[in-house]
Amino acid sequence: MLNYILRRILYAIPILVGVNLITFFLFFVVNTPDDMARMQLGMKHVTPEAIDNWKQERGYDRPLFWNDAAAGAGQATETLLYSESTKLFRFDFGVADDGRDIGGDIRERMGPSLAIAVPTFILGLMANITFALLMVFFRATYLELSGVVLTVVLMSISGLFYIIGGQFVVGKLMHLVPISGYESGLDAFRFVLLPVAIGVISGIGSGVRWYRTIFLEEMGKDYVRTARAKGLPEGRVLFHHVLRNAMIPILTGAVVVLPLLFMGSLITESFFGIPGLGSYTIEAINAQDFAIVRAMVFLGAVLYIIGLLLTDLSYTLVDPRVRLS
Amino acid sequence: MQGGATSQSGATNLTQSPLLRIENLQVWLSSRQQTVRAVDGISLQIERGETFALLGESGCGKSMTALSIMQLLPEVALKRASGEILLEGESLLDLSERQMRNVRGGRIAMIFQEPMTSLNPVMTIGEQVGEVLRHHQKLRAKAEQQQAIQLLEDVGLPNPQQRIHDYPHQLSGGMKQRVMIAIALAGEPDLLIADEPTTALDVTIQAQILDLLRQLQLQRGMAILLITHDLGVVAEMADHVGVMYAGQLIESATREQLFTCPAHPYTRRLFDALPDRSKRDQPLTVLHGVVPALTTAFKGCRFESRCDQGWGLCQQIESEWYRASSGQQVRCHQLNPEIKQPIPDQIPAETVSVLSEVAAGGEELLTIEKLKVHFPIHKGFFHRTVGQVKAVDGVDLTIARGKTVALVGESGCGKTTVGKTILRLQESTAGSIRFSGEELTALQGKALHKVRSHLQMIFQDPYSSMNPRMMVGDIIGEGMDALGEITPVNKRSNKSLERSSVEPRQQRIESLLEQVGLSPDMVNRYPHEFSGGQRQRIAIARALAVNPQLIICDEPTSALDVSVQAQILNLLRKLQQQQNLSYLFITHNLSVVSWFAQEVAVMYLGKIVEYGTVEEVMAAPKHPYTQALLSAVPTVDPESQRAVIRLEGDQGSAIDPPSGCPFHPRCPQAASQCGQKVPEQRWVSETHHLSCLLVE
Amino acid sequence: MSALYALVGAKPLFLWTDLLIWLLVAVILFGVSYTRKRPHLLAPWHRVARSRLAMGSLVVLLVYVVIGLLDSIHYRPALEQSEPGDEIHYAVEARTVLDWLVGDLREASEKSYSAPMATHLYSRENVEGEQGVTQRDYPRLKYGGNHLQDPQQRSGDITQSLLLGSVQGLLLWSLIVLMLVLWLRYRKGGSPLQRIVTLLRGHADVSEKQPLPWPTILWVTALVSVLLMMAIQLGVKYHILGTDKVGQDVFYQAVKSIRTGLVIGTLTTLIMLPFAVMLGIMAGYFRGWIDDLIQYTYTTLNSIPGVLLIAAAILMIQVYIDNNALLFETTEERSDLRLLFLCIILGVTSWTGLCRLLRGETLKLREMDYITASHAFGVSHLRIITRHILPNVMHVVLISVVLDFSGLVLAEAVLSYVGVGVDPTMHSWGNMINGARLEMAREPVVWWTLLASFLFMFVLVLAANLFSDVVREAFDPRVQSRGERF
Repeated sequence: MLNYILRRILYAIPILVGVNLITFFLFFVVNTPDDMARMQLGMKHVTPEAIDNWKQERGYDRPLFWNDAAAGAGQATETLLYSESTKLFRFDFGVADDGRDIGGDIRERMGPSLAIAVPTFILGLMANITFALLMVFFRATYLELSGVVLTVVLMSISGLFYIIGGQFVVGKLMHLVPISGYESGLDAFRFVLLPVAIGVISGIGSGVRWYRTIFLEEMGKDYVRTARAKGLPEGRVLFHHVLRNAMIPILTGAVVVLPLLFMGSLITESFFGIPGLGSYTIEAINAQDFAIVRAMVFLGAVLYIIGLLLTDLSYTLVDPRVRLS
Repeated sequence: MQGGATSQSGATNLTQSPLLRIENLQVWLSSRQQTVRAVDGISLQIERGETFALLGESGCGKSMTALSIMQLLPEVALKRASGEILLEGESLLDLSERQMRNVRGGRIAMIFQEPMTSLNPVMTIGEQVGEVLRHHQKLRAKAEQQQAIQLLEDVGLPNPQQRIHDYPHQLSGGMKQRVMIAIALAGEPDLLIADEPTTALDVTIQAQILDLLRQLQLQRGMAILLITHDLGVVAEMADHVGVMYAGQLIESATREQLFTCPAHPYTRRLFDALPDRSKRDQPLTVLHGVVPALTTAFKGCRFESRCDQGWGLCQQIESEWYRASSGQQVRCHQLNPEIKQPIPDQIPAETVSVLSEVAAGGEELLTIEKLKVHFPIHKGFFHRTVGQVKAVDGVDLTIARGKTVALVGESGCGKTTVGKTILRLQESTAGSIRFSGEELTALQGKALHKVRSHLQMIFQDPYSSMNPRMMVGDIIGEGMDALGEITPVNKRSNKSLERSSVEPRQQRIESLLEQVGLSPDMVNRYPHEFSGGQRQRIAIARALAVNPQLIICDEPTSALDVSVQAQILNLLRKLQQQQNLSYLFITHNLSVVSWFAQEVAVMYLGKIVEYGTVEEVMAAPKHPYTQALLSAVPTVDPESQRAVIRLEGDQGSAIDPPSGCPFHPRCPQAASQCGQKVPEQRWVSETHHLSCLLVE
Repeated sequence: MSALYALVGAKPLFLWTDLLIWLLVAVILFGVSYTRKRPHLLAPWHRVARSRLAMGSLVVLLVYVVIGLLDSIHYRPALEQSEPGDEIHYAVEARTVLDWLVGDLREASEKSYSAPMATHLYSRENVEGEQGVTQRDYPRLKYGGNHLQDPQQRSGDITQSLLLGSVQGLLLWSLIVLMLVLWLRYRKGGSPLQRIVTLLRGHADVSEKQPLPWPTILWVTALVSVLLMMAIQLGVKYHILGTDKVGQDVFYQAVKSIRTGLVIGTLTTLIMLPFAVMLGIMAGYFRGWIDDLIQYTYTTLNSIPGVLLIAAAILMIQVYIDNNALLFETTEERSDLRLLFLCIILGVTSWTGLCRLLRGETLKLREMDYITASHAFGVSHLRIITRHILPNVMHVVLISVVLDFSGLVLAEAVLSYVGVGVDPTMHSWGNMINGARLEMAREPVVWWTLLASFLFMFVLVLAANLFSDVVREAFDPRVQSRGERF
């Protein structure tokens, strides 16, 4: 087990190196530090000195890949690629353009992101599975047909409209909850309610359909026939036999996104003014703050890889046929 | 009510109602596109404690009959069931779903063909047995567990106390079927429906399971409805037999009646089509065509289109039930005492050489020496090789030109790997394969390409052996194009090419189709339009297209029905005679071997344990494994008082084969030395050798 | 050539996405003609064609496609010459055939917000009254309803236009039915009356094995043609869906956005398809280090959060465009490049799913006996891949392309909202939502821009979802076998 986890972590390193190379290419090669400086300092009136200053402040004044000026191993290490990569791998994200510490910001903003993402995820999963099971239970009736139609309609609506509509109806017309904003502590509840509700509803269409397909696939298998031949009631067949088998794809599919919940949701957070990592990212994109975007890309990749590892581990928990080796 | 079986037993048994009586049962399944008349007017009855066998080829509605009794029919758009199913006089079709649930698993239990998939993979077997106890016997906790252990012990699962915590994937196929039987027994049923319970199992395991079923039936006095396509199994198990054809029963007889004197032309043909040693020197009688689809609206006798004794009446009117001279009920106009119809002359049988003509003998074509194929097992941090699957572990084999060598063994013994290694579809680990004196294992590139046309293969599954997106002509032409038998025709330059280069290819494909008994105008059709038997003919044509000298036949008939199997076997033998082909015939079906092959190699866990001519091996087997294997095959001759040599357990693992003789853990005659010494090959005659320490 | 341009008064403008769109049309036409001759390929399409749901949504989709295609032929109109004989200059802003068809709608700009069908602006302004007195009032619109003497006549005028529109729509529909009848008679014979009855009541010909659901098709066509003619009748006089902050017609914007949505939904898959198919099959077929490498590639790409990768790439291309402004003669070319890159980068982030699917499918296929048989014949790898594997995974490709479409259309809106979607000057539903997102908080509420983008997007995505559902069911062998278990 430990051996397996260790091996998976080792496998993760080349992937992270790859991610790092891609981001480095996007942020430093396609767009050189000179371009960045010019953009930050204003396109027109920049003196070469100002650019050099700007680069020096951030340590961007080294060559990209190969430093002819340095000696020995320094030729490779005293470069932008080396220094920026090692910093990322130490989770040292540096400072943003406005001078704030990115690492600190991330730690601070993780809380609000999780406050939205975790309840949305859990409630959404429960709602989706429940509705999907109901549809399978009532299969070949009009109840199921209308359910199918409803899910197609729900999934044809852009997520943006769920948010806009929800804010308008619940927040503006009914004045039930604040339209946007966030407070820490217990007060957060008022602010979290609407985004979570909207998050769950907007995911129902595709979620229910997806789980329904999984359930239907399981329903066609031989062991279900055996269970029926035992004379078990349909409910037990569904909840005991089918659900337990369907939990394998469902759980493992859910586990992979679990770590990514830290990243928050871009759209929801920005619409509701939640000071989480999602809105942090959007703000960075709009402000073209590449240091933050790079940090978030790296963070996302790390979390994704943790998700993959957790998926493999969760297989061993829910599927007796899988043993780690 | 026309039910033959019912009216017959009705006369003899008026006092007590039978356990199960089915009267004129009709089950039609409709979808938007078609209606399937899965069961079309079946009447039968099963007495307490007796075994009723429902016999028929695939697609005859046997399983549908069973599922209708259980009311477990597939959920399709429309189902229509009419007639009556009476369990101790109570009509099952009138029961509500809730009431039916108490019957299912309680009074009637069922086991299925595929033990591999029929158990829930994420529940322990204890839970799966216990579930029935809880539901039907209202047992709880301790009592439930104890009863589950008891049941598993009854079905012969070793160590049931520990095993109840196992999951299905930890058990072998035979053990899974035992667990299925335990589940079925848990409700203490009066009737057990067994739907092809041993078809997916090896013959030695089949013998174990059939034994177990017989034993349990004696102990518990339950009736069994046995659904099978295997006449041998019927002969071994049944008290009463119903023969099904295209959704109907056509003959209903006791076992003795059926096996001494089958009356319906179809039943008779089924018996004739069975290959066995006594027919070695004659072609198998063939039922041409296939079972008609159940979507057709029948008029007249359903067997008429394939019957060689029918006449005009058969086309128009469906026959009533008549009593045959030997006492059974038959649905055939021939037996109508009021119609005197001369039985038409037998149509001439297909001309197939007798085996002695084929066996002209010749020089050695293929010689295998000490062949080993090991698959490495990777594990751990850097994928180190930690072990070997010794799929083939030292095999010697010689095939002479124009002869057939059969390679026999249970699944997992490595016989298919031998075949693939000869074709270089699988690399060998050690040993040599020489074809016409040329070493194959080292061939590369052009040289390998050249030799490929001499060696070809026919596969087991007629469905996966053909690309569904290619037309028959292209399928057959593929090998010709690739091996340059005839210059490949580039479609784009079709017009610019001389017609002469196009035509030979086309002509050759058409003549190949004719050779295998298909119409040449089928070139532009797709595989899905053909039946299993026809596909297998196409596969044979594809192999023949490159003029091979040796064809490896990997279970070419085991996916086919008996009647179709006979067609294919006849064809293979005819081709052998015409083209002086050699076959390596890989199979688990021993009766096919005794009809078809000249020499037999018996394989066990990667090794050949006995080798010799068919006469030597099949008539007087020396190796304990061969003896057990032969005795486990159910025979259609109920008179034969054979003693089944029961083999315990399963074939061992090829990763960690038993020390000494690989067979010794299962060998009924094993001595202490067997576990220590690896037996050497011993020649008992010029053509016969075996590896056993006990045989001198 | 230039003389010809001068004669027509326009110069064609070949945008990258236009070319690719028409290439796609050509590919589809080729695919249709290829499939027609092969019954086994045609069979699943017959199943699709028999579904009422699929055919109904197909009609709707076709309307979108036709509009999108009309909007994909760009040209630059000639500017008026200051003196005859001067070199002809062409406009910097390109038009499309669609613009030419809708005519005035493009130029009919008001000052600011106006409600749907309104005759007055939505907000008060200082208006000079009849007596020269300035009062704060809702001023009349320049274009919307300016043919009316008295705004009071508006409702009567609208009713009249609607009636006229529906009559015209029905006429158009009758024309379509007539042509259909003639065509069917030509194809299958029978009397015209019999044909009409067949069409409207859905009676299948005895000769026809798989009847098309004609009634559904015709009713949807009737609905669409009536709506179309009504929109034309009203559109020339009013702003059907109002105007936005700068007074642009919202209906026009929503219609122009159709092309953007379709381009993103189709070109993205078109661009990524070759890579996904090639790499997926290679990974599954060759196994070993090739498999490792391809798996590594897509795991790496997958591990980067999609939106961030898109954001990074789009920001980069925007910097490139800004720094090389001289390369682009027209604004359309600039926004087109960004659109193309959006498609490419969306493709990069979304090919991994299909690739993995195909790898799995190929892994299964390579164990099939017919592949083994090919190996026994010594058939080359390339030939095995093209003749055996590719045709047998095409259904997977088709299902995923069709299923991806609606997701991509929705993704465009989100990306544009984040600011990394299409060029802000380009018409797209995402840009419309983005521009209007604060209007719901305004007093009084301006709801029509959001409604317009919602409606246009919803209908397209719903039709695509319904259609793709049927396609998936028709092509997925697992669904097939589920139906035929007996």
